[in-house]
Amino acid sequence: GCSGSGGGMASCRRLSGAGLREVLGPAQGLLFDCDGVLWAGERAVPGAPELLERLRRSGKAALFVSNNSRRSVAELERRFSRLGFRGVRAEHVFSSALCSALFLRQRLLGGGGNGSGNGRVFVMGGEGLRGEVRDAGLRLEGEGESGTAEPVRAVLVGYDDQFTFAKLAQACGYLRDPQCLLVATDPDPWHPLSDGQRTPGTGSLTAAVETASGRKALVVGKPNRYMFDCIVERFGVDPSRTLMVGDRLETDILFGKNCGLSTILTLTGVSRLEEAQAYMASDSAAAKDLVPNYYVDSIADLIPGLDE
Amino acid sequence: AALPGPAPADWAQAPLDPAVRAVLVGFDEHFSYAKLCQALRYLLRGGSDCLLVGTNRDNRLPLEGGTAIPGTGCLVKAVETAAQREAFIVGKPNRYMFDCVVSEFDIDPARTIMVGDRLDTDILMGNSCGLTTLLTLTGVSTLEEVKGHQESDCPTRRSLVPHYYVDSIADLLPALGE
Repeated sequence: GCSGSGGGMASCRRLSGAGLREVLGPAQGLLFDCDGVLWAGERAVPGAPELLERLRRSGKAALFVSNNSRRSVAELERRFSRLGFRGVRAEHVFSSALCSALFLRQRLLGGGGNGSGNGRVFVMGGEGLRGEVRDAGLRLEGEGESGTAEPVRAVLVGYDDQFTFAKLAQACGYLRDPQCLLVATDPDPWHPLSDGQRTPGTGSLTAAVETASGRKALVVGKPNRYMFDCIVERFGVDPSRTLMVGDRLETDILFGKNCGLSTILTLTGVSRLEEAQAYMASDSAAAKDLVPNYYVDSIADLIPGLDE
Repeated sequence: AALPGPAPADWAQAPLDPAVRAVLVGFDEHFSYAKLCQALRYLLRGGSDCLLVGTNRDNRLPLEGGTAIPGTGCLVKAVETAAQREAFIVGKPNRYMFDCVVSEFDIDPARTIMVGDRLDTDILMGNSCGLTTLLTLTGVSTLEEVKGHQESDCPTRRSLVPHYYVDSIADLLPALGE
């Protein structure tokens, strides 16, 4: 079945045939990472839209949890539609941008979201991230009335392709106040580009801010639990009946382990099967947590496990 | 060469200089995501054939008035994290610069004093290279920090303890002949 990983290490079994029905049958829902799982760049993974459609018809929930802090959930909803996925609404999508904004709202406004002050947020990121922070009722440094004396109460590091030394220095200035939070959307060191190259991720920018400030960032994204807590609060998911599907061992699979979910690695993204097997063979206890319960070549391989 | 277009997708298409065999990270007040992208591209293209070198790991450069700006160490960490590999660090506390000095001058470590203001760079290098170390208190490190390291059980921390200290290097004058 798909009960959460109790004792014992996951064993990275290929999911196929009868095993597919055994694992998918009891599942109430699946959590999907997006990049490298549903799509690669501007191309949907072949069969992925059909899988979501079949899940819907089987009465199983599909929710989405992504470390990508570039886009607002509204933009992501449009992206799903543009790439051929039907019926995915913004409320089903949990991005690190959204969850970072929710986290900051809790910490700075006590969850009220009434925008009544209590400081500004210095956001190192693009417009998608900035929009989510604004929508949460927070005020951003650099926007609104000039000359405001409101202190900066948090520095939020996200994917920032306009990152500069000057911004790094500015962030450090704010972080001299020990009351000012340092938050990062995700820990990803790099992301794949469609031609096989890589682009630096939030993790590399966060490392610079941590080094300069002498502080450790609170990381919202996978593999940490916070995004799962957001999902549970909105949808009341039962971890023992939910599967986590992802392409990156160090974030998606570890996230599943941390949240008590059984995990499926799909091979259309970042991590290679050899890496999972190497973790399995390792003596280190930490490495064992990166081993998925199951793997598939692509999420399209899950379709035969669902009712017609 | 200037990078085409405003976005990473464009930057990843810019031609790479075929002759580049090392990425050197130093203090760069014009550091940007675009440069970090290019560094990553060279390191991935070259693999072990492309060196990754950092001038030093200082995390902060103190300014007058108690403020500080980010140091080279931050930029080195950004590149190391993106590339998932460790840089070779030239600067203190690593011994490379001492080796440079020794190769040009006839230095007897037993008769040489290292004078510095930073425990984790100057003093650590001096101690590692067998020099006598002298901390001056006109800069970054404080006597309280020294005491903390002295009382520690950790051998790494104890190697940050200097042999001597002065309030300022001017205090050395009386010891020198007229």
